[in-house]
Amino acid sequence: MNNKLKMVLMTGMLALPLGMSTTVASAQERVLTISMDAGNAGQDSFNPFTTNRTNNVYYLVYDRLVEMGADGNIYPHLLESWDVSEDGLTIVFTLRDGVMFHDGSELNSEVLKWFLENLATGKSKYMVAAFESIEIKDNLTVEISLSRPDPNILYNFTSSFTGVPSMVAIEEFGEEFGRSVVIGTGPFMFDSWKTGDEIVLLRNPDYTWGSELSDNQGPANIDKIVFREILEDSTRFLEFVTGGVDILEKAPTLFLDKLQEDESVNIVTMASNGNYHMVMNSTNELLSDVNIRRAIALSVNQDDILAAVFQGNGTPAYTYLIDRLPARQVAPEREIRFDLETAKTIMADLGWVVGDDGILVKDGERLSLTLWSKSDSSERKVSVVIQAQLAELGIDIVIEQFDPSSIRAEYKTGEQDLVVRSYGWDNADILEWFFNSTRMGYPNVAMWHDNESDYLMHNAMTRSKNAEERIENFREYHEYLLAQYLWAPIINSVNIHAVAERVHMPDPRFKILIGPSLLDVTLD
Amino acid sequence: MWVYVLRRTLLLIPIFFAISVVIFSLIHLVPGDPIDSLLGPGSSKGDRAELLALYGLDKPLPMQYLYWLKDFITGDMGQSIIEKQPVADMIFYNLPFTMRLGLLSLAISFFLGIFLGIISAAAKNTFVDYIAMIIALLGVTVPAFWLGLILILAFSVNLGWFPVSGSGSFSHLVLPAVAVGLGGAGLVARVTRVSMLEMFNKDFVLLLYAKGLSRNVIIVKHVFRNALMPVITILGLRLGWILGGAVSIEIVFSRPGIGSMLLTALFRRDYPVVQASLIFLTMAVIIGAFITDIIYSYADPRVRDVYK
Repeated sequence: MNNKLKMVLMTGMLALPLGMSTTVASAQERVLTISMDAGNAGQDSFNPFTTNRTNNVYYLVYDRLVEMGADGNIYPHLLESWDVSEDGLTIVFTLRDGVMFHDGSELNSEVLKWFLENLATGKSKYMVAAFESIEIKDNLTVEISLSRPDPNILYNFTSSFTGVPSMVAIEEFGEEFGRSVVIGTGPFMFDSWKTGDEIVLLRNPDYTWGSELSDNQGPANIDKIVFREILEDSTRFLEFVTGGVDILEKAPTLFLDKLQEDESVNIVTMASNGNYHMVMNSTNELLSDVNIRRAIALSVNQDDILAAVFQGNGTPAYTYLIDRLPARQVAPEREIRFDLETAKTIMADLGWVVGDDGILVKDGERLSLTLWSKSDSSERKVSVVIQAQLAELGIDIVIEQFDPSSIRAEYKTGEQDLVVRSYGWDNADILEWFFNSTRMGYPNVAMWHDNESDYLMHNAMTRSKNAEERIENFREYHEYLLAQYLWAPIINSVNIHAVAERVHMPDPRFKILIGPSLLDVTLD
Repeated sequence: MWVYVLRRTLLLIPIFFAISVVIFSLIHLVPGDPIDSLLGPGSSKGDRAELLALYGLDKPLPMQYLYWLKDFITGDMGQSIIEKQPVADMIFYNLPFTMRLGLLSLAISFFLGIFLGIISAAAKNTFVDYIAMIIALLGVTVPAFWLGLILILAFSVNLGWFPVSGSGSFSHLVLPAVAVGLGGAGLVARVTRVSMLEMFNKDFVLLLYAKGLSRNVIIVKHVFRNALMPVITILGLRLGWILGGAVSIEIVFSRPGIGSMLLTALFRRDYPVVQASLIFLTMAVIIGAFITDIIYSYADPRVRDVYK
């Protein structure tokens, strides 16, 4: 036994320096280690046709036809140009010349046609729902015929879901593509993936087709990127402070103060797509009354929640859309702003009186509602603050919490009263997702079924002839929904990233930090 | 002896069926299903129905169970609905990480626990005894995830001796194994102490003293060996537990493993992964107890006699 014990200890002592020597050897490479947002962990595949969730790796292994800048504008990338006919029914895409996949195959019009046709059969088919036919014009040009104008089409092609994979590789590897084999045209090549642990990417030395948003359009200055999947916030923070990771994507709120105090840490704050709101079930007996919904919405103090739960990081939300979207710019009277006095007046006008315990009563019935949230998120903390805020109006709130899968199933029962939720999306079409009457329960948690609303939704989604008309149609739809007080808007969040001193990056020009921006990153 | 082993082995079969029914029912009765995770934006009710049919989730629950059981007992654990990987591959990918952590933490529990138990019993009601028992009490009561974070602060952040998280080398294994192992060490120490104190009161110990043996020889060669039986029982039962009991430590130290795989699958309602992992873990506990029984009966004929 003693000899065995010695062997175990010796093996351990040998393994320790071996592990250290690996670190020393790899230190000669320019390695960037990123602790990815815990919400992005647990990827199921890196095949853009079959997955319905993506993470930053998609932005680095694949290139997109066009890119969205931090300014909200769209810039060419794999597409050199695009031309939309006057009636909006024909689009000509012209590819950039000389783009090669990591497997040596060429990006040409045949691949582009195959890519667009496959999109129409995959999880992102809604993005190309207006496509009728695709015709190859020459080696780099395709002409697309549409069944209706779709002013949103270029936005769709900025999505991480529309990175272009290698046709040759998908045909060769079939279902294996996306797990052990991932081939795109991006600035980094897929190297390895240990599920639940780390994803390693290597520099693409042949890359010369960065978009105009990057200063460096050639190969990256970094040899290797290691994405660490660390779920526990404390561990993420401790890895960062000990130098185990260089970038803390979406730094945990709990440790923001400490990170901000540290002068060696570069804090990068970027507008996010995140919006927090409280949904009201319009089929609930009490909440079917728009006046009660209005009183509740006006009782939610956005500033207090922003300060208490998000430490002031973000902006108060007064509509259902994030601030930078044009359809967010509604008439001032349609914005939903905290106004407790008006809320109290509304309830008094409806015949509700304050009972002995401070809770509103009408016809002997106390005003009590349940408030649902997910148990493991900021939404849970928000729900606690809202409980106190609605008590000011005189509503007894009973908080109920669920795990993410359970709550989705519970929505479908339609038994919810109030629900604190959040979404991350930077297009006004999110309104259709949440209020389309064909999706009652989930994602239409408000259980909103209204013919006028659906009519306005169809106008915005499928009857807009150009970008300006689409914005106007969505603004009209948005204003109509705001007037129904189906949500109490809470905050629009920001993404705060912590970057180590040795990492040098210019101000973000893309809509996300961990993506093509890394082409311009250098390391000490 | 062989009759006893055979009877105990046959008993595993009904236990397996009972467990499989409970696990299958529980996971399917919890609200939610994996299909929502698979549907893309803009999916229709038809898309949902198609996926339900594809994974056989549209069939009545007893029928689903029988299909699953048929595959399972022929060695097919199925395929993950979310990750599209064979469940067996996922388990065998994660198992080595869990085994390494489990075996090292078990070794820490065993050696540290026995060491504390012996010195505590040998120095009963002294300062050494109190210190050893306080350490044991802390080991039993302090949550492993909290201890893990404290160990990271002390040995990774302040001293820089070990990496904060990950699974690449042996150095990645030390802190998580200590965090898990200390809990077991506390238990082993307390049981060892009680068991040794009982032995000290036996007549044969008095006889050994009378024969002129030194105190150290009596403690190590006679008292400790006789006091070891309850400790073996505990360690045997922990054999199964260590495979699935380190979930929080796997999360804190960001290590792959059966526990974290199960947790992720549970949140996504990835039924084949949850079912196979739970059965695997439960059977590991039962087989751990089974092996302990066998060892016990081998060491103590009175146990075998019960089954005669």
